[in-house]
Amino acid sequence: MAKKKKREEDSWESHMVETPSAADHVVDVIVYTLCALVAFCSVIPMWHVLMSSISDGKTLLAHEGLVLLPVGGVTLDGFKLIFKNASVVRGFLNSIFYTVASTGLGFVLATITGYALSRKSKMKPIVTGLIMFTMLFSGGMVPTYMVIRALGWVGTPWALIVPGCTNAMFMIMMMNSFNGVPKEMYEAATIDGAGHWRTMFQVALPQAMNLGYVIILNSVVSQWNSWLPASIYVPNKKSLWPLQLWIQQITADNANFLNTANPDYSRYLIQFAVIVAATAPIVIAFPFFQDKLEKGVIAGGIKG
Amino acid sequence: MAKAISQAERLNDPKYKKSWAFDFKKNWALYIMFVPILVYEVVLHYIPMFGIIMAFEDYNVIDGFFGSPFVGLKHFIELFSGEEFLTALRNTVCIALIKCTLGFFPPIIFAFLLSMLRHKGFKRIVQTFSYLPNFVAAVVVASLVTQFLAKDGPLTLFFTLFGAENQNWLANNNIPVFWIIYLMMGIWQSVGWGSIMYVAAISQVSGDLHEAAAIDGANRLQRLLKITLPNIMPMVIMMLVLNVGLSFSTGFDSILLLYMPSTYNVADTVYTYTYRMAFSAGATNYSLSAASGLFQSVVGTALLIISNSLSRKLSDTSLF
Amino acid sequence: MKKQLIALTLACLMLVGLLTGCGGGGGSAGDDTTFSWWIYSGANSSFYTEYQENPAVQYTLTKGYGSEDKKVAFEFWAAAPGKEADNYSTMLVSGDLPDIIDEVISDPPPVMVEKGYALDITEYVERNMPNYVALVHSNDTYRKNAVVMVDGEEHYYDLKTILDAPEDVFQGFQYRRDWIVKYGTNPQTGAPFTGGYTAENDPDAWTDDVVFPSGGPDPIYISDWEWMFEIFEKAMADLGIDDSYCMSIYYPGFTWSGGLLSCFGGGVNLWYQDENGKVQFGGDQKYFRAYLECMHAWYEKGWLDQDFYQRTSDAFYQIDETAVRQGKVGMFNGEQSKLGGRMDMKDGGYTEGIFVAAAPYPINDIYGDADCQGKAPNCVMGGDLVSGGVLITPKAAEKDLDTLCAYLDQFYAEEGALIKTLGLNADQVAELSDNTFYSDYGMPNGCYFVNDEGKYEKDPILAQDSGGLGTACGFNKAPGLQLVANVDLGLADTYQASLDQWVKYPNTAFFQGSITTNMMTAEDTQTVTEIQSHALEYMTNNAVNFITGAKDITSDDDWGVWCKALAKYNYQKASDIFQPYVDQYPFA
Repeated sequence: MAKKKKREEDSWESHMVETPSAADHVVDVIVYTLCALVAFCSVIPMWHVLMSSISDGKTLLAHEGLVLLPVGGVTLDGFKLIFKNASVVRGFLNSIFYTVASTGLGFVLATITGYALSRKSKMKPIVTGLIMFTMLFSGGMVPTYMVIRALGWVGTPWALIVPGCTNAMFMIMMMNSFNGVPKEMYEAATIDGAGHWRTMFQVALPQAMNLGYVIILNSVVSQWNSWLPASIYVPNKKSLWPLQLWIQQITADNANFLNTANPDYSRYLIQFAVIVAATAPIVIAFPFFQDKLEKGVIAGGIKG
Repeated sequence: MAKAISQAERLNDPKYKKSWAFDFKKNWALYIMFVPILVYEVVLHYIPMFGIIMAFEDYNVIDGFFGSPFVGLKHFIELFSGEEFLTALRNTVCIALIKCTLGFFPPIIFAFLLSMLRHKGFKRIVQTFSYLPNFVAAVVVASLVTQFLAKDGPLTLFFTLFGAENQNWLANNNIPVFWIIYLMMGIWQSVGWGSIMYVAAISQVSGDLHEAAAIDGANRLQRLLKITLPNIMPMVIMMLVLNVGLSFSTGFDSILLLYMPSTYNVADTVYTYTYRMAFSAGATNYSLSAASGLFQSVVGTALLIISNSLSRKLSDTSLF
Repeated sequence: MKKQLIALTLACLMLVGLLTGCGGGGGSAGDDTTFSWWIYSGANSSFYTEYQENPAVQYTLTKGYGSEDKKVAFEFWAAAPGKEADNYSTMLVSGDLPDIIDEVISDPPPVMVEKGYALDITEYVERNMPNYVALVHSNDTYRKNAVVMVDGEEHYYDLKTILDAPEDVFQGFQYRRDWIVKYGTNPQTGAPFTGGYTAENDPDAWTDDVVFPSGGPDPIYISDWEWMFEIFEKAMADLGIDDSYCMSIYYPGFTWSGGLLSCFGGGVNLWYQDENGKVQFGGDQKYFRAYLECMHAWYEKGWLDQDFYQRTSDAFYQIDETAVRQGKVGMFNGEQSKLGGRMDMKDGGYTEGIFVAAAPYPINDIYGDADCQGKAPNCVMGGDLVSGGVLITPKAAEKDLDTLCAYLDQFYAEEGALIKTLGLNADQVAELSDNTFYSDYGMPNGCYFVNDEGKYEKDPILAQDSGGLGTACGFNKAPGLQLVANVDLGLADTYQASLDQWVKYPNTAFFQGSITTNMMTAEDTQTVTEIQSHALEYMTNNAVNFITGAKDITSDDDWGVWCKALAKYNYQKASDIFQPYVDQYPFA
């Protein structure tokens, strides 16, 4: 059902009855070339890093320009060097945990708030104002640290999960999403005697979920890539470090690898391998969500 | 008895209907729903805002936040009489302007291009590829930019083919080299992801209109300009206005990873200035930092409010 | 179905994360001999994860200390890499202090005590640290640095690390001497030089007959350096190196803590003490101008790295590491591990046959007027007998400081000093049987032994390593006695000769970071720091222009703008603040 609908939606151009003219062919060539160029430019830097990470360290050190194929033979030494450290695996698990927990909590918060904001009440403008205000004003790092410490969260996973779990943008997006649910559905729910909670979870949320996926993905990406909060709140507990902080550590420990009598040149690969290791999971996971996300952004854009 | 009457009267009284008590009775479930977020915001965002008072005092660690001497607007005057901050302000304005103008259209143009692709598989591949940069961490993007624009970087070598001087582009402190680099970096990251929305809007423009126009002999370009563009215009306007609203306050973080003392004259922004005043070893001045941060917040808020009301007028949509 | 599976997996992961993540927190809190200890940088992750795992640390923790024979424990706090300053200031501003602070980036101890970040530990030191007290009083320099006099009484505000002899400097200017031999000619006779390696695979077995224009076997004057640069140019032309340069310099165009800057008659471009003991600010003096003139001339001639100002992320002793390592740079500032033939990659590249020798700071004989010429460099690194230390914070006030001090006192005696400086010996390794670090790295017999001359000599594996193994197997974060005199590093003659070049001139003018500034009050420190950071930022951003020629160093107008800008920062005020301290606490 969904598939069929989609086809109708975005394929009108290809279904049209039309005999392509010569000018059309020229346009086609230009359009395809430009699109291919964009795709190429988007991928090539990451490709360069990927290929560098499996090159030979010493050859790579002297290499100039793009690395389109591994230089000096294929090796996995860079990755071996990273993963020989058990802490990195631990960091991986921590990152997954923080990402899931923070995104989950943030999504629940954004949903509840978004729903409440989408209904009429006297509180709405006040809460909206309060939320928007935090988007632009902040007390700074140290005062925030002091509050988190007063909560007893410094040195615990809470400091990494709760404070950054949601933001004004997410909540406003959720509000717009709930606004986009047809009025009739709300009315029907009220007639059925459903309260706000039931209406929200059983009626409105499934309808608003398109945009929900976008928020979830945005949150996952930013949580996965975040390391600053960890460097502030859990610097002394390495068992709690996320992957990104380990990457900083490993990069720093390797910065001076050349400064030894007989340098191990494969350590030059580490800087590339860590980028691959940190980015790969999210890039690999993405295509599985692509359909839902595109729909979500559409929903958010049109109705928002 | 009298009580019951007054109760009924009150229920019909329009004044009462507008009152908080009535609203609370009717929407108490919503009020409960607001509790978590209010607690969250107050504890994690509003309580730390006592830090803002640093901007109005000569903050020192010994006396703390509440004991340091109050100096009023001294730090704001200091900011605006210092060359450094004014340079940072100019750069912020210029970068924001460039982002809102040149940086705004690429996703739209890309969306148009995508909509003109007839080959489904190709379109899908192009889209997937173009989303990739959105998922790369800012730290990684910055290090890629640094590598690619270094003296022996692939992009620098590529530019020399067209007669450009072989140089580290990031160290070039002529206007507008750094601004262009920062703009291009932003475009690289967001052109694919930013286009999704426009692609969707374009695909929802009624096919009937196009067909009718095609029968009338309109070619693709004409249809694009006459049918598609007007149809997605409200959304474009809304996005533009919101971009302007947030342009002054967000999106400067990566500069911290890209600039260097020799390019401060073009790359320093209010955001980076604030950060440097707070943390760079030796030069810390919390009060000045707080003042500069507060200034950015105030200007950002003003812009956002103005652009939001503009958006409401122009396209009937608004952020809040 | 798939969805449920994913959800289930994620839920399990969360649970595992929660259990393991939160479980780690515990420890033996409440124990009055468990101390938290902030160190500037943590363990090198190539060796182990936490500094607690350091074998030398673990060994010392197995023993009991003090009158009650109690054991101590530590929880080391280290900042995330690159965030050290943020971490330190967050810690202090928020009051979230550890029990012990490494002094690396702190204010001077009297300031720390005044601000309430550190304790006056006099009573504990005098009661529990006989070794320290004796050592401190064995030498006037030690005493002046370690003891603060308050109303005529001795006070201890921190525990210093004390060296029994000055250490070799770890870095300095070095040049490719093999290029001089190959491409240079004797300035007196015009004959080509001869020389080369006398043994294979020994990076220090080198001999040659190089003579510099000044007549000796080592460069002395700026003119000697320029003579070298001409030779380097020839070498690079011959080898076909077209993307390099003769000499690298630090990105602002100067190093404000001294070095080359002080070879032009004055001192540094910040504050220094002149021959008469008067505090001077060098930023707008003719000496600094002569320096910039020289740098500009070298830049114009293409001798200087044309991109030096872009290398902002490089440390001053490791500039453009890639080019240097490939053997493409003639003169550079580098560490000991680059001396001799150590950079030879043995791959037929430019490092083929490389021999690197150290150059002392040169004496200016070309630039500026007579005042700027012929004077010995006076702001140089090295020669310190006291370096760093630790502070005890008020957080530890309720804890058992007697035991802590008794514990730390061991590092001021021979056995503990060895653990701190080098690491464990064979017996100690055997005793620490459950830690396999030493055997893992091929040193089951510990990391040093006593040689025929009665000196301590490093295990060969350790002696050859410069990748951090030494740091990983000794407890060098501990305050204590750093053994230098009695440790045989087994250095070759050419190597030792190079190290001697770096300490050719003593430091007589640069007083910052010494006893002089350590005695300043909090208020004075803050005032001068503020002035300094502004002045330094201006110079960092603008000196480059004079060197690259964007501004004309010979133009009095351009120089006038510079001087005026600096005067705005009121450096004279800082000079006046420094003066009484310089008079009262002479650092040299």
